[in-house]
Amino acid sequence: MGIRNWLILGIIICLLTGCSSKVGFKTVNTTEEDGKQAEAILEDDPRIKNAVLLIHDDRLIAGLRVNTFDRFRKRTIAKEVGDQFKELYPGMDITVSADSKVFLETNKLIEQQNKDNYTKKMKKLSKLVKEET
Amino acid sequence: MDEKKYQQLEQQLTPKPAYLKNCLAAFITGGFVCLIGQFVALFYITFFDFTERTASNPTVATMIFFAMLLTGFGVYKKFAQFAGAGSAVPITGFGNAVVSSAIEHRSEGYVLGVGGNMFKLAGSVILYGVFSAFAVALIKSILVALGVISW
Amino acid sequence: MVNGRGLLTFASQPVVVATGVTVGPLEEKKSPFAKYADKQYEDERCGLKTNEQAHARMMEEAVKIALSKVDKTPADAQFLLIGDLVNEMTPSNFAAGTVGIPYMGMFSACATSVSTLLTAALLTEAGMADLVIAGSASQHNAIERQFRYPLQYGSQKGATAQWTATAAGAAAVTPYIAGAPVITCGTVGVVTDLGMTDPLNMGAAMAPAAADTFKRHLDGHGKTLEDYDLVMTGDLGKIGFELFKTLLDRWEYNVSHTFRDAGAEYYGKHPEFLAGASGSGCSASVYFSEVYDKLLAGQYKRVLLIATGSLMSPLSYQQGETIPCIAHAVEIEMK
Repeated sequence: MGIRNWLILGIIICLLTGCSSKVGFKTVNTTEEDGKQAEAILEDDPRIKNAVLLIHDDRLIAGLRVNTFDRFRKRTIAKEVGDQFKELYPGMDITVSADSKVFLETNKLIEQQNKDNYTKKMKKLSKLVKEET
Repeated sequence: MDEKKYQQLEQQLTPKPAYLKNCLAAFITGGFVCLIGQFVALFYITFFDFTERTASNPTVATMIFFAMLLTGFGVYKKFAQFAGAGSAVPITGFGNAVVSSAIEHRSEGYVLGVGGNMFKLAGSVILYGVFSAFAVALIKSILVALGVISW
Repeated sequence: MVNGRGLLTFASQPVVVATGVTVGPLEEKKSPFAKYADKQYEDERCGLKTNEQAHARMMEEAVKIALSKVDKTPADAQFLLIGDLVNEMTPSNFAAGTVGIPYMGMFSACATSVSTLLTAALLTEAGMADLVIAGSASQHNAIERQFRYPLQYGSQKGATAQWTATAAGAAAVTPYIAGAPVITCGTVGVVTDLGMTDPLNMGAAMAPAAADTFKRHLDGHGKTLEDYDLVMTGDLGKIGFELFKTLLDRWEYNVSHTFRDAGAEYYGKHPEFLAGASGSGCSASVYFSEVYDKLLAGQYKRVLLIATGSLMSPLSYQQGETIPCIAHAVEIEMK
């Protein structure tokens, strides 16, 4: 019974720690554009609990994490936010996604702080998001 | 003794299935299978170029692979006796149905045995899965055309 | 002499002179009856390529063992009456081909052990044979795939489900010899169908057939329950056996008397086998090992063996047919 009890304990710990990503809101802006407005849009949206925003060259990438039950509408939310960004920054290549891949990768880019990498990685992420299926 | 009376007697003496226990077991084990699936998906998202949307394909393939191994080692059957719907509903149940049929008919050769019988259980899942997807898509298309909802 | 519908009386007193029983590896581990068997296989497939080949091999070995106990070879036997549950009874056909005894395949599903024994006694009674082999076998893997899902398919089974036993039993029947259990009489069953449709609850379907044959045997042969040291049914399983006893109780038989069911006892107290064992090898292997040994030892004087069989096929129950059932009874006495 020893092993079984440890297993159950392990599972419970996994379950309890599962939903505690404390990223909050992060913004990195290497351009002249005003990033504050975009940040405000993200922070003011009650459905979004975490977001990372990266503005570099002519590209903008936002990775969103929405509240649990808003996940059913996460694509609509991302589209709404994207449309608002497009009005704010005409002429920029904008990618907004609530996909955790975008969130994780953008967060990683920001934490690594290697600016030479930005353009290449951002292009790749935009391409991934556009991929169908 | 007539049929009706005997059926009543049979109902009295046959132990009732433990519905509550079965539901609970299915809930826990089904959830556990999905938890493993979530980890696999996370693995593909973190280490490969998959997004949440595209990771579902390799995740499904991996889960079926796990089910295949467990079926081959004879573990899945024992797991299913305890788990019930918890093992049948996730994709692993589909994998188990395919692989168990394939193993069973290995002795009749690869073409008429394995090939011909592999989907004898899972075939209906595929048929009615495709059909219900078609029906749902049809309903949604009509609703979109009528302007009730949008894509 | 005609003495009633389906009633057989053997005045010449044919005897079961020897038996042979083989069981599979799981039975050896889990079944209390395995220690009475003559041969236990360590491999479910007996080291052969397919389950069906193993099925045939087990039957063949049981026949050979029964013959060897009376210092005979297959060439000495006049008739071979065996059966099983696989399509067209191929395992029995192959086993019969190997031993080369003139053969009639007999199908009464899981009641084949008794139907072959009765026919063997008849051939002996008629004076047409001095050595007949009767028997039946089943092999878990081969039978499960025949009637249910693939072996490794994970489906949850209810408390009424039974586990097909891997076992074979054969009995050598000869004219009267002192010191061997005598087949005194028997009753051929009537197909009974009380509208049961669940193939995973065959015990409940078969119980009325067993009760019917039991009553007809006692009434027809003018016996009472107290004449028997043991009344043993074939493979009703735990739930079917309870139903059987309840039916007899309604007919005011004393069910506290020595009743046993081979299927319900087959796997002892192991809960993973649910309602117990089934299959044509189940009753054969118990009747021809434990019961036979106890008859020889004098522990039982007179026993009534009622083997039950459900006569359905996967086709018939998928077409929504009910499960027709049969039960044959044989009375064996140690003089």
